Amino acid sequence: MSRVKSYQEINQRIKKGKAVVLTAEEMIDFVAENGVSTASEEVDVVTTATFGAMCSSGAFFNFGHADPPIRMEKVWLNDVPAYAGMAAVDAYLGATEESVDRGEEYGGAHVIEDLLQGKTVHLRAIAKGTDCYPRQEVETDLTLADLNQAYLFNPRNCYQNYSVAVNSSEQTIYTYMGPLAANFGNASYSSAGQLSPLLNDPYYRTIGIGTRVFLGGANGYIAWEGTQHNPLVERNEAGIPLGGAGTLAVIGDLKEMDPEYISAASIKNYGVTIYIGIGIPIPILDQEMARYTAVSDRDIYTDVVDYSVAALKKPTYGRVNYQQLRSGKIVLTGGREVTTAPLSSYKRARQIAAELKERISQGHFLLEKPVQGISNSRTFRPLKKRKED
Amino acid sequence: MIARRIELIFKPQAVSKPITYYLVKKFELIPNILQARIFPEEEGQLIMDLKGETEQELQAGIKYLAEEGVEVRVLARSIIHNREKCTDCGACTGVCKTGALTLNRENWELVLADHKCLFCEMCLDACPFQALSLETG
Ligand code: SF4
Ligand code: SF4
Repeated sequence: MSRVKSYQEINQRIKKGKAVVLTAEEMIDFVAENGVSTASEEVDVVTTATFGAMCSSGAFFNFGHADPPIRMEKVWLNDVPAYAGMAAVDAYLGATEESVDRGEEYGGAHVIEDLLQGKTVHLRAIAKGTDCYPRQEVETDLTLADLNQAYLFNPRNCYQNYSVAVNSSEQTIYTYMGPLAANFGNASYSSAGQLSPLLNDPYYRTIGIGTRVFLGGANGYIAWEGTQHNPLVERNEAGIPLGGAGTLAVIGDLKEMDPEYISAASIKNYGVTIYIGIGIPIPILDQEMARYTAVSDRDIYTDVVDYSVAALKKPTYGRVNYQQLRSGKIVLTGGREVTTAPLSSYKRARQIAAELKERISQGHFLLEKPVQGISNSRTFRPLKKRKED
Repeated sequence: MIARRIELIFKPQAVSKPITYYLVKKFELIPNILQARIFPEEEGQLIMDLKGETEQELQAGIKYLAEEGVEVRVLARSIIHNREKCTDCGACTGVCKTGALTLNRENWELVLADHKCLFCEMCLDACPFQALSLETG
């Protein structure tokens, strides 16, 4: 039985610049050549990453007080409504919120991107006026530097696996998985597969509340389990979920982020979303973690789902792995060949895994042991029906 | 296969000539008419995608049109890829049926082979970052 490493030991080695850090792709080859036991002894950290559409994201802002002061009740940033049902100059801007006048062309994600790129954003706020906050409206132009706080707080990021989308109908449909051409014209998939964080730690042993992560180029943290966290989905023998499973809520300082790793997107006839780069380091505490992080695209399966069926439970057309998806073609049940295309950038995911590896190797990024794990048993329910329905 | 989107302005005397027939028969090109406005005793206007096997064949067809007194304007010659906006997500590659947009499977970068583009415009809608556009004019 090989040695068990502690977070402390690994951090000591990182501080001395002696830690052995591999990306999740490099770990696959290392384990194939040297075996799990040697890998667990020699490798300290494996870096994972993803760069994809993460619709359930947004940012908290504090604008500072005007003179005379206003308790902002309704807030717009470049004409995109932000939620201000909090006191007094706080607001939450959702990434998918669309501009009042420009619709799906410009939304919350674009405001966040503009702020990150150093651009000026127009703030408008209204209120009813009170004795202590007499002012009823304010307008001004702000940059990221003018805000007291600006932090991303994303309720659901980093999906652990995700299904593949196809369209069996007679016409093109426009979905959050992009346009899907009629008669199975194309198949769209979104996970980073073997590089994806939660597929390298399938039971959330090291990824938990308090874990320090790379979020949009800055240090961020896992704040909670993500919304719709669903650890109980079907898994294969290796423990890998066969569809969307665990999710993460993450938080981090927007002021420290890099526009290279955050991109606003408009998906035709669907709306606005945001692409976020997230990297998560996984400590190789023991053989089990070495085995988990050696997972490759071949071992990760997901279902092909028909998005043309407008019901929560949609028909499926087989199960494929990411090696097949990445080849550019899959074969569905019944023998039909379909072209595949990713929705998330594998190139950027690789870049983030490499960047995080670099930061850890240089001693600039230490690992944080979770203060509490995320659930392995939470059930995920559909919306409750009314009795009379 | 390569293509150009072209606009043809007919002089009245040329309107009667079956030019699309000649493009197909003599030059082995495939015209796909997108818009036609022909008024008797006035100028006619035709917008089409002209497809052929090689650049030379296309040019021969366009030269023939000019010789017949048709004014030819090239509207679109290629798809423009804005590298700055592109994240190499690959979403456009699923809808491009001509092989003009593919992912390099070594470094996962988007590769544009614009000579293969046939202006179907599917990729314009598929790109979440509006990094693709048609070059016009
Ligand atoms: S317009 Fe776009 S999708 Fe159509 S052939 Fe050209 S590159 Fe491909
Ligand atoms: S869809 Fe747009 S961003 Fe994605 S690879 Fe194609 S051009 Fe680049």
